[in-house]
Amino acid sequence: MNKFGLSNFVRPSIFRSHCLGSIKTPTSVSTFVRFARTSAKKKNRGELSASQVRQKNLLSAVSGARKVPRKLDMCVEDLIRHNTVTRAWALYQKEIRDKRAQNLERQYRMIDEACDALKSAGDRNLYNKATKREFGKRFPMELRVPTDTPPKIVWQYEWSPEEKEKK
Amino acid sequence: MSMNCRQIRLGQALGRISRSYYSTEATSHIPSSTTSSLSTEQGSYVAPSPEQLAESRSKIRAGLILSRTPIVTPEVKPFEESYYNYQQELERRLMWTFPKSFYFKKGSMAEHKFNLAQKKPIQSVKGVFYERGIPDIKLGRERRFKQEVVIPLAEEEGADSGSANGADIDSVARRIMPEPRITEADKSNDVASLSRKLDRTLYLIIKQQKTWKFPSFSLEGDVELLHEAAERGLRQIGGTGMNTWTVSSTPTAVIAGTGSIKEFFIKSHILAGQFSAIKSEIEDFAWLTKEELKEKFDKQYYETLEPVISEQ
Amino acid sequence: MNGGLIQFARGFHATSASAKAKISVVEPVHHLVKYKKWHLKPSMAPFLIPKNSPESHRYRPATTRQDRILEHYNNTIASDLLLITHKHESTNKLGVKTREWSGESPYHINRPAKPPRGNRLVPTQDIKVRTNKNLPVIEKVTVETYDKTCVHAAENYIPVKVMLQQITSTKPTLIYAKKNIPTWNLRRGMVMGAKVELGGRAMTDFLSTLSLIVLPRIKEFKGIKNTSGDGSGNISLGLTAEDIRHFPEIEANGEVWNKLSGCNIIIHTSAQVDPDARTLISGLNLPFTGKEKIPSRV
Repeated sequence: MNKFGLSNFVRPSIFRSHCLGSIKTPTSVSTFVRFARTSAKKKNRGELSASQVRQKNLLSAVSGARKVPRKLDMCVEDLIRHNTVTRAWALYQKEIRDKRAQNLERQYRMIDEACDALKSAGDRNLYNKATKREFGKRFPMELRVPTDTPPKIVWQYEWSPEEKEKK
Repeated sequence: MSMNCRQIRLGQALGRISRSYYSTEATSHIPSSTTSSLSTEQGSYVAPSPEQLAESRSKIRAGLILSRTPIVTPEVKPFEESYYNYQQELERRLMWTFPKSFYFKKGSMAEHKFNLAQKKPIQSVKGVFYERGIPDIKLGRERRFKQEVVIPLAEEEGADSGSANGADIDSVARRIMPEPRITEADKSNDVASLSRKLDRTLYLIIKQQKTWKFPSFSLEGDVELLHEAAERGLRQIGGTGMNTWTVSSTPTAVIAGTGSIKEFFIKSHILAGQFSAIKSEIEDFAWLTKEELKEKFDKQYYETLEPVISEQ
Repeated sequence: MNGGLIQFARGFHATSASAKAKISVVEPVHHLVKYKKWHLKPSMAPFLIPKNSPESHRYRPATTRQDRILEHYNNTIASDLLLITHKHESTNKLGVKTREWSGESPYHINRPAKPPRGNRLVPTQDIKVRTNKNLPVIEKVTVETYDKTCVHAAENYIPVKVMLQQITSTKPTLIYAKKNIPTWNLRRGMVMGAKVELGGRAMTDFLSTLSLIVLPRIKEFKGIKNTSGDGSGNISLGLTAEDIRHFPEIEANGEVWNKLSGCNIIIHTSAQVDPDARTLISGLNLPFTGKEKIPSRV
């Protein structure tokens, strides 16, 4: 764990969170000023209450005021380079996508073929049970989504059927 | 009255049209020849006698494609890596300034430490020539370049270094050290191990009568289903110390063998435990990736099953 | 459909039915893009640059690193889902539809269509045959928060908005009341909360954080309820204000947040029915609990 309580495989999105907003100064700042003026009727004119200060700090954390970097200014050569790289990436992604789609289609045809063959194999009960749509199917929690680096214990080699019954 | 009748008739006709439209669209993915043969078969289907049933069941075999899914993310290719780096640089360049006051209270020790750790940008002074242009600084950040935020960790590292290699693996306060993606099994190329090639899908194959194949079993009794036979058979040749999850009872592929024997493949994943071969049943076994399977398998066998075997 | 029928019937209006059409049907069809004259002034020129060009001030790179959930879906889940959801020799199932009038009588013109047959008042979508082309995928995730206190103190939207931006790393939009509800003192146009729609890497990052860090730390969390779902493949779950504290972005400086609100998380999938969506979502290590009801039309 680092300072922000983040483990290694989760990127610190607290830094990213400030790059995604619009470039214009949010109108919320002016909303805040307006509301500050109306509530300052009481005693200290111009002074903010503790909760108002907190809200001001919150708003300034996400507002773009003075935090927005300069616009990118690429020269013509850089723009051409950028467009070339972007197009190459798009082509590369398309190749992968097409290959994947083709593979899935072949898999689909194979499943259909297998079911047809099972139907004509002579045992109708076997066919009916095998092709019955199963509902309530869930991927097991043990089938983890892969991480960038492996866990401390890479594979649990010792396992017995009693373990499953316990759960 | 007559209008009502006509209305109903029109409604029925519309229904018929829509139904026929849907049925044609639905069957369009099945080759027309198979559809017709199936429909005639279904019409004339008669329940077989016990002898016929036993004979047809003896010609069905349940194959098992048992896989270990990847444990780590796929290896990033050089082109991908350089593209990601380029995009990351652009992202960092376009990021808003880090709102330090939101995370560190003004005048606190933490803020002081954070400030000390940061690299100070060059200030602009009148009458000085700047090679990279006049600095444009707001909130302590040079607006023309990316901001490099340094998190002061030095002290924490020193405090924790003792427990990092200590035995208290369950301690919450321990530092997280990334494990290597290449394991001992990779180095020794131990094909019987499940902790090799962590970023790839591994498939279990067995050697019987000097040929490498996916495990395959015959059906027992009168009612055993394909996936039941596959699970039972796997435990007969590999012991019960395996936690597996059958993807579906539907076969994913079929191979026509010799003598009108058909082998239907059931897909399954291993979740825990290991395959410990029972010597009397099989000669050898291995956990292999797609490329390695290609070398071991018979050419035709591999080409038939190739789409089912995961690329990654 | 109605337009075709109208031609056979005698109308009681002076102009012909085709002349009343509000859109041009003769090609080429003009004025597809609505614009105002002030859109054309020079200062608006930067907005004409497409967002994906680095010359635009709105440009943000999207593909900054590998997406582990997307990779997992493509490598493992997609082909498994194909097998799980496969139904041999199935046909398209027609949903219940509203019933049009036959158009024989002139009184049928402009008469609203009858609701679907049976006790169901809302028409349902058709369920198409599952193929490799319509496998369920996660399309987007919506995170939304409503705060009751905004009715009395409008500035209370601030912590809600900042909180959503912190946990999702995307800028939220405010939610406004669409109509007056006098019993809640709510008037049209009042701020009610904020929401954020996530896609791409921001979405998968959020789901990762949820399944790896937040949900395992909630003691009473057993899983997403199997009854959750809107009937067309969108599954939702809720987090309380205490649960939000488990997000690392909030936990990092917890003292700043003296008041947090819970949120609704809606996972939009392209599944045609809820059971398929649940199977897909369970593949991302998000558990489900409770009894599942399978809709009869599946």
